[in-house]
Amino acid sequence: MTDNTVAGLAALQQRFARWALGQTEEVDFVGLIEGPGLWVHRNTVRLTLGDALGDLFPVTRQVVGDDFFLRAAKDFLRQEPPRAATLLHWGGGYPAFLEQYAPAADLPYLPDLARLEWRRHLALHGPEATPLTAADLAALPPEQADDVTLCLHPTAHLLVSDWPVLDLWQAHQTENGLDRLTFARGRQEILIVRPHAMVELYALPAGGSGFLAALDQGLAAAIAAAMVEHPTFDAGALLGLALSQGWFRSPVPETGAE
Amino acid sequence: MISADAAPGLPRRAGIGLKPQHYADILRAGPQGLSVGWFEAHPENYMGAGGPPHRWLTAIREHWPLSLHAVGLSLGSAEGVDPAHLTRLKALVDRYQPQMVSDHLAWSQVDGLYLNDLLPVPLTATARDVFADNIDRVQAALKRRILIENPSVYLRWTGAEMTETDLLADLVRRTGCGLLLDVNNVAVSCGNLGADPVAYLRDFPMQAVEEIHLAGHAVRVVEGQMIRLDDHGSPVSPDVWDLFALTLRWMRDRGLPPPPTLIEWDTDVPSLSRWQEEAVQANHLLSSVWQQEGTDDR
Ligand SMILES: [Fe+2]
Repeated sequence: MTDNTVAGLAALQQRFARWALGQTEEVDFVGLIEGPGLWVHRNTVRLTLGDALGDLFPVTRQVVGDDFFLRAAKDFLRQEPPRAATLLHWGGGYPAFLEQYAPAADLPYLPDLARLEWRRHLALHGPEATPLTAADLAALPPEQADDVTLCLHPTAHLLVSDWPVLDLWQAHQTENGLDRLTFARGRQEILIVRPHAMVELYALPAGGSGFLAALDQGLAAAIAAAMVEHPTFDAGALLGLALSQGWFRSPVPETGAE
Repeated sequence: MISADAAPGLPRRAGIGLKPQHYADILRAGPQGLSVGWFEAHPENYMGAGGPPHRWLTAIREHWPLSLHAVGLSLGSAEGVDPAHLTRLKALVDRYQPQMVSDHLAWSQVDGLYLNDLLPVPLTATARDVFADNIDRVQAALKRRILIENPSVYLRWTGAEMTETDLLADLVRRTGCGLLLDVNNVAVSCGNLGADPVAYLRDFPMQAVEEIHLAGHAVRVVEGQMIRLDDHGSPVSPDVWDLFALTLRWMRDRGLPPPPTLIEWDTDVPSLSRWQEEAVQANHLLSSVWQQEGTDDR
């Protein structure tokens, strides 16, 4: 090292980081380094982060193939490197990156497929909360039951796509799933939620996502919101499913015990 | 400077890394069914709010001692330790009450960028002082001592003012931290830098060693050069077993107790039972070296 101050060390680390991430090709620390391993670090940074992105978006990776995926991952890494020392928080910008990524332009459903995978990841690592059950509701005194606010579970995420990306995702979960898939442009409303240990994915009836999203404004407002575009929307049926599957969090404050 | 705490440490026998694909097998076997005394996990994989990782770790922690082996503190960063990351680590330490907390002599974060790699620290007084300050900050926040691990090294910055072992000894003196001696990293680094691993071990501040790492590494040709790659993707190699045995004899001869010893495996992770075979071999050495007290030729 030529500059033996803390500022000199900081500057050296900044240059090294930008080079390792591929943000610059200028290797301006060759004279500062002994040993053959400069490229080992650059490869490690890029390969491990590319693999980490592949673990986050496994179906997206299958759809585009390994070579395409890793090339795109390098570009994404240059633009949006991880900002925290836990990779659990990295990758949220990848779907939007794919929208702008010219080589993926002929796969218009790819960004939403990636959104589905990212929200699945968020649900998997989201906060724990006891789901509300029909029995909980029935146990409430009638005056309280009337104005109970139904809050979606904190792991719940909605996705509305112009493509049936949940069908596509599910077709990749079984051996011959793709053979049976007829994939054509068409709107799909999706709920992603983890009430217990496992993430569950649901294709909602038309209007369902608007209904669930508006529930925090009260049941009547939510029904009205759904019926605007979907007059045949059956709120009762969806509510029954929601309560049986744990899509809402219990409004009862949790006690000290976990 | 933080003094040694009274909390009981890791068992003085072999442990293995904790991997998601083994969660169910581990709990099914139970403490009686495994020859593994403790587990080591990377806290960075448990920094989500909830979900399966926490559910499994909670269940496993009920039955086994735990070491949290961090890779993300970036203690060598000139800009200091990321306070957000330290807060996340502290939450895990408070929640899981691990017997040990450690990280590496390395840096991985600068300027808001995280590189997911352990990068080498220049062997200068400046870099050492930065490192010691960062350890102080972490130990003060966690209210406990941490261990610093010797890294696997592929390059050296020029202008070294001290050796790596001297730098580690300085850190111990100044911060009261302990050391994690990774014997595989010694083989990897010395191989890559053309140094003698036995001489490195002779210089290592053994009194401060509170944990040992063993792992496999690969040999690859990169840019026309033979490189030892620390991929943790194979069984412990014979030369590393030999260096481990030598380390244990030296520790014993200095009146030190057997060190908790971890078998690391991070790529091509084997079955739990195959991994255990390595732990059994380490346990065998740990007990036999201390049984042979005084009868050894060294
Ligand atoms: Fe290690």
